[in-house]
Amino acid sequence: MRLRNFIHIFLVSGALAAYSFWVLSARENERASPGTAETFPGTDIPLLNVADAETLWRHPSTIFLDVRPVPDYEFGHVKGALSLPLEELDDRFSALKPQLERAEAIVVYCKNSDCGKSYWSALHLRKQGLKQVRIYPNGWYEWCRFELPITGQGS
Amino acid sequence: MNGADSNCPLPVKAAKGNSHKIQNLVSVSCRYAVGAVFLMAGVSKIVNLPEFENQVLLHSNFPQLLARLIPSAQLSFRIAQLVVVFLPWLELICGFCLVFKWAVRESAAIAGLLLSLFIVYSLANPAEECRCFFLPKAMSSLPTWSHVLRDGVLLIGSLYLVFRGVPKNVEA
Repeated sequence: MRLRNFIHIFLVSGALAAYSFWVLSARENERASPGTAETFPGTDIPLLNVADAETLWRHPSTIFLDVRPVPDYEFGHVKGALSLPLEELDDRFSALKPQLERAEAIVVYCKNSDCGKSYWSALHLRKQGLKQVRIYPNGWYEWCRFELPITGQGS
Repeated sequence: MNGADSNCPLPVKAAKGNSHKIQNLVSVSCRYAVGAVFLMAGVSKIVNLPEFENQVLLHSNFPQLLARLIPSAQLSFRIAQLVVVFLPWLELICGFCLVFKWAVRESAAIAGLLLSLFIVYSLANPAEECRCFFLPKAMSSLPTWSHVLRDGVLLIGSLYLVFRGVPKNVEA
């Protein structure tokens, strides 16, 4: 084996990757439209119905945040959703911030519209400067009722 | 007249020739198999690079795994971004080298290292979808063990190329 060959392989891959990185960085950020005029009272945080939530879910640059307790999340959650219980939001926010900032849309959900955690979490995220946050108020129960993609131990 | 003067090949020489042929055949098969898979994996990601980037950075455990290792969240995310953009090109170049017989041992060594990392990651995150070829609909339904098995077979092929499989007259 020759070191020179390793260097060649990494140099060529690195140059091509740098080009891709530059192209990706330069591309215009297309923000997903909320698709609804309804907002959370007193704020401009959009409230999503199931169709809007599903449309955003299909967009790869959307993050779904599950703010229910961890056991509920482990039992079942929207496919691809991250677990961020309201109780852990302060502790875990700084670690997740770069990931959340990158997302074009952040959809926060809880079990249903009676659960206030999604509202509080969305307000908190908005205060941290994440303007792309949205609330899916009917949350987990409605998502299941419409038989949309889920994962977890109970699925 | 003795046996050495006849035109018949000596049994030892014939056996050596056969084993050399078999070794060559295995080597070529490994090169094409590992090379083709890496080419396919690289190309399928590069043509969907923005989507692949989003899938890994937003929907996998990889950024959080790096965040546990590197204290600065911003820095770890930047590194994750660089890895995600670099990986498909490295796969493509390795696949290209293996198929076109250039720096075979070195490419196979890198392929082996990547395959080992993929296997460890798959076993550590069994619930996560495989983004190996980035053909989301076709490949995501396969269970984790099938990805591990496939990567294991390819790893054996790569290791064969690194340690045994490249005869001196073949290597560039």
